[in-house]
Amino acid sequence: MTEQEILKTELRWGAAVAAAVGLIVAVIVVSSASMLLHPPSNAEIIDPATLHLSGEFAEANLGSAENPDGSVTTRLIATQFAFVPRCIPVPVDTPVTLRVTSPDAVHGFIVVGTNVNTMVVPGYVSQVKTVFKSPGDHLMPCHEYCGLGHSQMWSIVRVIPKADWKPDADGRVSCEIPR
Amino acid sequence: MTLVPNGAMALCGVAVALLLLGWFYVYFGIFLPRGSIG
Repeated sequence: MTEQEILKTELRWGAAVAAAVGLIVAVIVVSSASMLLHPPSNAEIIDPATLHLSGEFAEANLGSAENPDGSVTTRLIATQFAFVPRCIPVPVDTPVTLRVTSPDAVHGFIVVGTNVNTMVVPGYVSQVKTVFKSPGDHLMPCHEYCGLGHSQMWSIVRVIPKADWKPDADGRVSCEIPR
Repeated sequence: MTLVPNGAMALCGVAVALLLLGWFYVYFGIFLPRGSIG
C-alpha cells in the first residue's frame, strides 16, 4: 500500500470510530432529555453535630412516613457503622423520597437493583426520589469506605405491596430484620 | 499485501461493533430498566 492509501484507510477508520462515539453521546443526550434522567442532586446543608437533638433527623422522626399526597418520605441517618433504621419499608408503585445525612464520616449508599446511588456527606442532606416497581427486598450497603466497620454497614429496603402497606396513626411504617 | 489492511479493518470493525452492542445492551437492558431517580 502507498502512504496515501494507508492514510485514507486510517482516516476512514477515525471517521467510523468518531461516528460510533457520536452515536453513543446522541443516545445518552436524547434519552436523558426525553426521560428527564439526571444524577441525584440536592444542595441542602444541615448541622451534623446536632442531628439527634431536634428537627427532621431526630430519632423519633426517622424511617418511612406517608405524606398527605400519598407519597412516602424516608429519613435515614448514615453513621459509623449502621443506617438508622436498618429496615426501610417502602410501598410499591409510589413516589418515594429518601433523605439521608451523616453526623460523622462520608458514607454512600446504593439500593441494589435500582439506580438509587449517592453519597452522604456530613453537613449535607442527600435526597433521591424514585418509584419501586415490584415487591421484594433490596440490599442497601454503604459503598464509601467509612472506617473499620464499613463492610458490615448495610440495610434492607423492603418494597411492600399496597395491600400490606399499613401506616400507623402518625403515617409511619417500620419493619425488622434479624442481625 | 492488501490482505493485511483488509484483515486489520475486519478485526477492528468486529471488535468495535461488539463493544457498541455491549454498550447498547447495558444501557437499554440494565440501566434504563432500573428506573429513573430524581
